[in-house]
Amino acid sequence: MKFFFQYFTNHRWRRIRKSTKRRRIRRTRRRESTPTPTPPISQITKKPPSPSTPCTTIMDLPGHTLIDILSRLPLNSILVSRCVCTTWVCLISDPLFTYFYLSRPQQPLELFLRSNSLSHVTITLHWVDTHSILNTSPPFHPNHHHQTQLNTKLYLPLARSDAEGSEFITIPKSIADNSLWGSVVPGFGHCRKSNKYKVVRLVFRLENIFQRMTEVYTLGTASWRSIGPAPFDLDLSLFATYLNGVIHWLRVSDNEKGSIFIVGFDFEEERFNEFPLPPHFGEKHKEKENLHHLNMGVLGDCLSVCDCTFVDHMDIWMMKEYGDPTSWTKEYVISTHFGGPYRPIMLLENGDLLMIYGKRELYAYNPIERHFRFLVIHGVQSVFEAITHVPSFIPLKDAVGGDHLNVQNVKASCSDHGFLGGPETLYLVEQGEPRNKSQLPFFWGDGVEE
Amino acid sequence: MKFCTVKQYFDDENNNNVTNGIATTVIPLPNKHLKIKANNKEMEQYEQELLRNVMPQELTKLILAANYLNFKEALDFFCRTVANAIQNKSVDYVRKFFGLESDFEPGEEEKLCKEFAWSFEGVDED
Repeated sequence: MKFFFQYFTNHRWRRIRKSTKRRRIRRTRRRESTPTPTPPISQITKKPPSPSTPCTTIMDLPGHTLIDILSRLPLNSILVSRCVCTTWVCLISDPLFTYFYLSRPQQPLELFLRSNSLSHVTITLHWVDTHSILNTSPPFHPNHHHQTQLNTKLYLPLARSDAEGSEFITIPKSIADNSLWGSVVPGFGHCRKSNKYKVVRLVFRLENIFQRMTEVYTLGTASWRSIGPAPFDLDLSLFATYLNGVIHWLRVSDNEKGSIFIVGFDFEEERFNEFPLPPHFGEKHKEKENLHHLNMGVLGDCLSVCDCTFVDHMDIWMMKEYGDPTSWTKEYVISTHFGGPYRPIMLLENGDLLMIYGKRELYAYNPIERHFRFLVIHGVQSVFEAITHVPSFIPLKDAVGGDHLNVQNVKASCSDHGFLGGPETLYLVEQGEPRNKSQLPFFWGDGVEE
Repeated sequence: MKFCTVKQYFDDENNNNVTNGIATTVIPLPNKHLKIKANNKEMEQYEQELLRNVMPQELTKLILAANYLNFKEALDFFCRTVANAIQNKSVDYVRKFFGLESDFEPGEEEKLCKEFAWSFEGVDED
């Protein structure tokens, strides 16, 4: 047992001194001090151990090794492991666990859907089991429907569910907020080096309504800090995309050309930079109004932009080397009989591309065989948005730190903040035969093959 | 310098951490690695065969040995094997596999399970 307990620091020992754990520790100490010929019930294996080879159990492993093993499991297995024993709950909540989990070569990207409507924000995110999307394979007879239940999980971005329920953090209001005017462009991100979470906002203040100011709030601190004037005027926060410690927006420049480029705010250095888009990107449509035929996101750890301005196809470009505009590569050219708005969300493990069409329909596109699979989502009445997310299991207080942290419980506070629960269960149904390039994608989700 | 600990192991007569049986399994691994260095599949097959009939208890001893000998590749492989063995399995299976018992307060376990009830669906049968 030596190796295992050496892992715990003094702080952990204080945490362990609760009644349940005290009983367990006392039990082990008793074992060590009074050796008996037969080990206690909890350690009996099928073959009684001989005196020369002491019985070895998984709990004899050093804590960091146990964490290494558990961090290799997929998300649902990790959540099952939390119910095995109290020690494993502690291990999974440890920062070392998240460190191991995030350092795996295959980044564990999970997909959540959230129903949106104009009148309110729902607090329910629905976890999509992307493995079940992989497992459904074409071709399908039109009468057979493969059903996958989307699972409900109360889990907000910047929140986590624990034994007490889901948590979220509110940013403190200040008197200075009274002088805000007009639209606010927000962005949220994380600085890896300093391990801080920050929120940036571009605002107009009544003192000067013609110049946007940049303000940053570091979670855990008391108030917003003004960085200075924003070098760009972003009327709309288009496709705020976070990657590599930088939040990006698409922007149209004010000059005559009206060229579109990417603006980035680096959270670590707290300054703006910009990247050009791929050459000839969206060239035909440089008007601001056509920006909705373009979109930006992250695919496979690369910044990606999608050009849906064409009638018969769409282009997806990826910036292979972050920060290097010459590394823009046209990765996919996908034939569609009608133009966008398709929005790529994520790359699945098997190379399929998951996309949302018109905020109502989900498609999986196979680039090798060049066909779509149409995934209808039953149970959602309104448009929805898709959020890709890397799970973390650390309590918000420990992850963020700081003295001015206001962590609240979702269940207790949702009505105060105007949140509403969404539908409890959604069903993902694959319908129809796989679409090849000569077939039309559906617009209305009626599931009828044309 | 993978095997500084091995020298220490042979020098140390009263070594309780690594029994002889375990040492004979773990120590030949790097030689085998060198022989089949280019061919990953052969190495995988060799490793699968090695661990086919190993009980969880033996696996734990192997991990302890690899940890003591500071042998990272073997440690990585053994940890991966354990993780694969309990992937997508139920709570009871995992407990039986490792010989663990629940030490939750009454009601605490149900609360944890209920919170993420969806993660228990679709697990393999015991």
